[in-house]
Amino acid sequence: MAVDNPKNIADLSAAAQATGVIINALVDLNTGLDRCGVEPGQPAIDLAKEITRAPGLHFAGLMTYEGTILREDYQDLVSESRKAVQLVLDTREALEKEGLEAEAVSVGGTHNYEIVGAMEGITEVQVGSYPLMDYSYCQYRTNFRPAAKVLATVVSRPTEGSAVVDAGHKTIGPDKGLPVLDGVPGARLTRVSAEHGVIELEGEAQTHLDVGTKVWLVPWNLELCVNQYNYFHAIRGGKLDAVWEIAARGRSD
Amino acid sequence: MDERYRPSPGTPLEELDTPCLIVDMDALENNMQVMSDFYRDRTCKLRPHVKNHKSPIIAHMQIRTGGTVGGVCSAKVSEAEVMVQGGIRNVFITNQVVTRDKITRLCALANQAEVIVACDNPHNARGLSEGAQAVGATLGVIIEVETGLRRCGVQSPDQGVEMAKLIETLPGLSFRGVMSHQVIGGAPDRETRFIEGRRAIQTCLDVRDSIEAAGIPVEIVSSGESWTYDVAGDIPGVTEVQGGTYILMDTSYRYMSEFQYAGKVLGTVISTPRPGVAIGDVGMEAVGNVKGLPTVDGRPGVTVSGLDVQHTMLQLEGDASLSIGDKFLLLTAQQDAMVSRWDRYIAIRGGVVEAVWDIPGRGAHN
Repeated sequence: MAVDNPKNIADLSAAAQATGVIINALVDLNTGLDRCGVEPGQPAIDLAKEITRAPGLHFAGLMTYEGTILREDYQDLVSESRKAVQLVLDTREALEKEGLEAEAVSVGGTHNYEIVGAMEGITEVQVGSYPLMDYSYCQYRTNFRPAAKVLATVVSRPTEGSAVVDAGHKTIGPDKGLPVLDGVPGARLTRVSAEHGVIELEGEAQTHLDVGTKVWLVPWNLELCVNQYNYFHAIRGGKLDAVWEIAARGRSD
Repeated sequence: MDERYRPSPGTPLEELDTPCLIVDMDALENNMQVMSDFYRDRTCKLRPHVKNHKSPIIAHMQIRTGGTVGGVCSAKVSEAEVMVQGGIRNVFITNQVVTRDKITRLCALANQAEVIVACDNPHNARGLSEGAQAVGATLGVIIEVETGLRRCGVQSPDQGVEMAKLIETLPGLSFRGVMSHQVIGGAPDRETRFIEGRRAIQTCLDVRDSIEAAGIPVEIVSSGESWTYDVAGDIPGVTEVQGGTYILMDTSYRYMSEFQYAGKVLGTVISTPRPGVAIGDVGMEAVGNVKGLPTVDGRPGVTVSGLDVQHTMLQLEGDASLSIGDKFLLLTAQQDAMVSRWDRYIAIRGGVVEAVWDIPGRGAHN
């Protein structure tokens, strides 16, 4: 697991000893996200040494999440990714000089998997969004397609230029951005409330989307959407293939 | 953590595993009492909206405390099913139900309890009638009126009259009345609430007047919500008010100061990477961010500066300090978007656990 604090190392060590297990601990580095993590270089080396001194813990390596470097320009993405990850590799090298081996160097994400995955010394890449994808990533990583969508029904056509669907905050998770209506030219989802989504219709689209019509919404951020559901409905060739429980739903702790 | 994590009654708040969803019982009871005191001696009554808490236990408490119509409203058929299974006998689904499967479920439910549904479309009214006839049920129907929300609803008194006439002729349906829902932005003062609330609700009453002028009695006018409970409750002709947010409250309703914050998320500091900064384990998935950042409750000098999917960014000023393992409470800006992310409430009184309640309406989106 990731650690970035001596007190936390002491607590984990005590718990590991009490149950007779060995916990693999990776030092979490801050490489620009400014969230969790110690600074690369000496602070990381000090923490790694702290782990090696803690009974019940095994120093297993280094990790970072440099997730804020998503860029539209691919060359920018390449150089920013390499720059962030190089801080981790430099720390690993410094550790080796001190006689400490970082077996695992875990970095990256869906946004830069092939860039950091090709860097020598990186042993694993932490990818999450790619299997289901979402609209925010689709714009950058066109080799992946959105696999998870929300199916909604038009429940009201109050005016010619608007349609209301039965999907809102609770079914879409729009905390980071509005979902995008898929496959209806001239129709755009413009706002959501707790239980409703409002679609504005222009031109030809006004003659579609009668009450009862189904529409697809591509979530802006997939994990916030999935977290709202108890089940996935797996579709293949336009038919229901399976229903899977979302076993980790609600596991915010 | 264990999926069945259920701290025993008596467990101190600060020993709870986090994040967890807290209900402050003193605040919850205050909020129910405010409503009960207001509606008890009035003709107009409260119809608690269960989309906000999704819990039959809380719904029963609301009804018991008093001042209600004796039933609830819900946003979804699945929420209504949860309420009827939980022993509530009267549910008004305040949204349109249009698909065949869902109409079938709605009408089956109408054989188990008094069920009313909102409608704003003639084709939909016919579909409801067919569904009700198929199972021999009588379904109450209330016409939704657009009063400024620019969402669902009939757009004029004439359209309302047409709908009422149609519903009156359709077998299996019982025309019950009209409804509307209003929102207001910012932090309006009392005068603004009264002016804006009355104006919107008058649009709904105009539709009622036209329907009655056409010879069709209108039994229910269901309008108003937490921010207009004291406005709508005194407008002659409004028979019930749909109050939802008041029960657990959120910071976007902070101007309704008679209600207290009852729903909160408890978090733990997991990292203190830089001076003046602490990182907590409560992210968007736990507290929601749809109407803005959450607020730290009861820790002067600590503010939320940012929120990621799984992390809280806390900023410390002045003498404020937080260490790894410290607990903090967050208030959300949209209460129902927070609750819908959780499987259970942990009810707290006097700083210790009193009860753990499942949220059977969780994930009830359809």
